[in-house]
Amino acid sequence: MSTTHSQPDTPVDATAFALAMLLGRLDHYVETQAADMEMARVIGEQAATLDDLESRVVEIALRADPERDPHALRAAVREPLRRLRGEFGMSRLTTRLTP
Amino acid sequence: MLDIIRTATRPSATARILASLLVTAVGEFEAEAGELAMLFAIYPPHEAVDVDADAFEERADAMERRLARKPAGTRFAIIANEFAVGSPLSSECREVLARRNAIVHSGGRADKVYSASTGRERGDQEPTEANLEVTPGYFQDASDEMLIAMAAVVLDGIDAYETPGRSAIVAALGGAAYRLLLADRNKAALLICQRYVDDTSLEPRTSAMMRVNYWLALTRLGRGDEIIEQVRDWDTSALEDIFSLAKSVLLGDLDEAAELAEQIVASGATTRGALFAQPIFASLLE
Repeated sequence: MSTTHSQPDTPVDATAFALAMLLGRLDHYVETQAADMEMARVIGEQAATLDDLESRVVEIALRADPERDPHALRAAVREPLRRLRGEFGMSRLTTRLTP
Repeated sequence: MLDIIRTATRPSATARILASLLVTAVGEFEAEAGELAMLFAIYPPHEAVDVDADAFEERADAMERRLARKPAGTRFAIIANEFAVGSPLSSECREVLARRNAIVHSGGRADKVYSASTGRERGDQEPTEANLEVTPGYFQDASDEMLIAMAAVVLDGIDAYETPGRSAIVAALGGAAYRLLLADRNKAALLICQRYVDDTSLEPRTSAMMRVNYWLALTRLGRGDEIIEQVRDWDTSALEDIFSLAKSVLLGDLDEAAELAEQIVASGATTRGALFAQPIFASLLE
């Protein structure tokens, strides 16, 4: 924790200094909270992208669970390629690698 | 297998990022509470300020030792009980701090510590511990609660110091309220402005600005109907034209307001850009 150890000259100045510090703290906190809220807003707007991306990864990982299906590891390779083919038209690469 | 189950059942990426942001925000809140407690220890409110160097250092060191590793709730209780400034945290604010602890220590689940801290007992039939998600709406409410707690202490602190320049200080505080309105933090702006709505010791301009911003915050919070009569009865004849403009906007007389805005800009009292940058007049541009 830090503190300001500067000493004002007179009691009247000390009161003014304390008040200035109080207002300064509020200003600082308002700015901090405004920045936090802006970050939360951006995260909220990106939510669909973030969650959609993660759910696809989880879906792929579950399909690749060797205890559920010993051959599923192939799916873990094939699935991203299928998506890439859909997104970017990498049919040549997919054809070569698909079992 | 366990890793996959854990991956599949954990909160979404968005919820985890927001939870992390909440932990940061509570940390900032705790730090600010510590700074305020230090300030009041060094410059005790409600009494003549002692600037004796030894006493000054002693008070600062003693408070620093007491605040070490203490959570925000304890820090606010010290401020309220020992300096008679502000009040202990609201139950809503305590819930925010308890949720932060649950996120950090219990993987975001409502454990016994959370229930004890918030007084929210879990039902006997509940098979598993509930997930404490942080949604964008929850984050906004939590941030508002912490902001209001901070503002309440600052407002009480300002009243606790004897000073001849109070009107100027409240005018500066009006600047903070304005920035809160710009950031759409209406609850905190309302708290600040409400305190000075009927304060006759202020300069007329400061008092009028507090009044307008109080009404604007209430209107934005969907409570405009509560104050419409007060706005209608407000006599702005002795004030600058910009307050008549604010009155027209608050009453929804947008045609009259647009005409008045043109007159104010034409008179050179302000520029069009400066006028419409103010949140209350933004509706005139729509």
